[in-house]
Amino acid sequence: MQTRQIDLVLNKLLKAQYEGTTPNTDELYLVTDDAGITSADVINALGYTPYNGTANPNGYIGSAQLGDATITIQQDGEAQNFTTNQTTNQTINIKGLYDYYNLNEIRVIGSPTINNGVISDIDTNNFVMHSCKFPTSWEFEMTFFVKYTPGEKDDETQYIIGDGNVPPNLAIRIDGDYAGMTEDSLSVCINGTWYGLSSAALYGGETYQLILSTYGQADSSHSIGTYLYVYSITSDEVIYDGLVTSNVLPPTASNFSDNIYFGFSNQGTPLDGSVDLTETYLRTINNGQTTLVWTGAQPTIDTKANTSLTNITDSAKVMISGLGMPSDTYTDLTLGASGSTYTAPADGYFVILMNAVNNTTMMVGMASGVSRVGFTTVIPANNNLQGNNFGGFVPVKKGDTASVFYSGTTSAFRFRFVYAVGSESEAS
Amino acid sequence: MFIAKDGDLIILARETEEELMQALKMMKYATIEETDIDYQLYNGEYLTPEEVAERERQRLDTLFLTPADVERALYKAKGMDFEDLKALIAQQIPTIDTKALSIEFRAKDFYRGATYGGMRLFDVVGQLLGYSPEDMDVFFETKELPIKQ
Repeated sequence: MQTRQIDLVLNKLLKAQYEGTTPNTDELYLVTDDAGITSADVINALGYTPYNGTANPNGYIGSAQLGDATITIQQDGEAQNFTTNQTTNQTINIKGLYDYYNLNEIRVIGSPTINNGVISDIDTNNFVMHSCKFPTSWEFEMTFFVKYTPGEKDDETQYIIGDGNVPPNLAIRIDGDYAGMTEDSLSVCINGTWYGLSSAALYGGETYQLILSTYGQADSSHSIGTYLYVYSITSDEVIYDGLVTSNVLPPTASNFSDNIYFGFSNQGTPLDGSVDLTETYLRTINNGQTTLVWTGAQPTIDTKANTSLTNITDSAKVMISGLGMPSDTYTDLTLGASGSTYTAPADGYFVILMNAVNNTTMMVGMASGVSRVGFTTVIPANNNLQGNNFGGFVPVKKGDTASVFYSGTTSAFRFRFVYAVGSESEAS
Repeated sequence: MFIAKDGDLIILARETEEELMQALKMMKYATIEETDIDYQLYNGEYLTPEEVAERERQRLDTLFLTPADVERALYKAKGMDFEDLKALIAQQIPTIDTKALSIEFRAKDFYRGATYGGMRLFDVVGQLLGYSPEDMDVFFETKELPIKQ
């Protein structure tokens, strides 16, 4: 039987680090009673020295309450126990990775009662990660530092950290209280570097899934139902957008590789001219490490776009300037009798070129039904016109009509509808 | 034949309904009808064959050539100039007023449909030279008289 010793660190330090704010030292608790982890390990993982809350319990749970609390996980799926020196009967919610290998579902895997300091019947062999809520009203983030004993790493352990030689230190950060915990709330720290829980770095490059946390939120409304945009700085393009319908977000490794990306989302609504971004956040992701760039109240997109376009990239401006111009997508049409009317299937242009004939005065004209934009071209009779073309075009919006009038010649060299750039069919 | 109409205007005609419906892409129409009339598109309008013939005759009759165009083609095809032609006409049609004919030959332009003394002038001229009315239509469109002995 192989066992892992897990030390519990209760603190908001990582959340504070994540938010880029100064942590409240009163909320920091570091449980170091167990020998499985050293303070150096923790300091290495965090990048600074956390506050030791043991000396200042002050109504919070500290090491004195948890004592030598350990979670013992058996790889054979048999009995697992969570013991603590808390002797009062109380409820603990434990969430774990339901599908160990795919890391794609977090769920409560047990809500046993601590009975005289012993928790038993955690009926899964999945890696128990989190979370507990004690009978008080306290809700807090909880971080596990896992110390793997050299030589005892099994395949599953190696799989988790992606490399059997990688680090003995593994920290799992959970943002939000247990009630709102989802995959979006999880990040993992290996040797001081934070990774989205299901990033490629964590499981051997099989898949790469962007984890955008709604950090600090007590519910899951920022995950499912969130509308996510992911931008690539290198290509300056949106590489993913869509409504988040599950707790694990697309896209896959092929979309993300090693580049730096922006991702931001808001409450279940595509970004358009009327989205309030107060619930939006932006993070950079570089090789799996995420950094929160900003969050909170932001001007609405329409305000910014309508005033200065300062939030539009150069390439986007190029794209915008081309919208409505003729594209290379078109549909050839049959020229009917003079006076026939044609209905635009999308924004675009009706284009006509007539074949000229000799010794005949010719005319072609076209006008839109709504805007009345149009043209008329008259070619006086001449002996040398055969083989030439004459005509013009009329821009129309979708559903607008254009009527064509002509005489002197009956044959069209070209009569077609050219879709505008950005119109429905042009993009398809 | 099947025709599509927008009000009273025939906007498109095809042999089969399937061809018609396919060609009507984006076109506004009100009704589809089957007809025995072989409508043809002529100068922007769908017309009966009789109407097409009439319109085509009208078009050809308005074609014109300059006297130089006519005399050049006459000389090239028959080795004749206007004097030779007037002599031929006077010989073949003794009753013609040769002085009045000379005045007609001084016109600025010669129209295919020109008449003289109740005759279609260039049908008569063509006949004297051995050309059919169809040959003369071609002449006014191409400025070239067919070479005939």
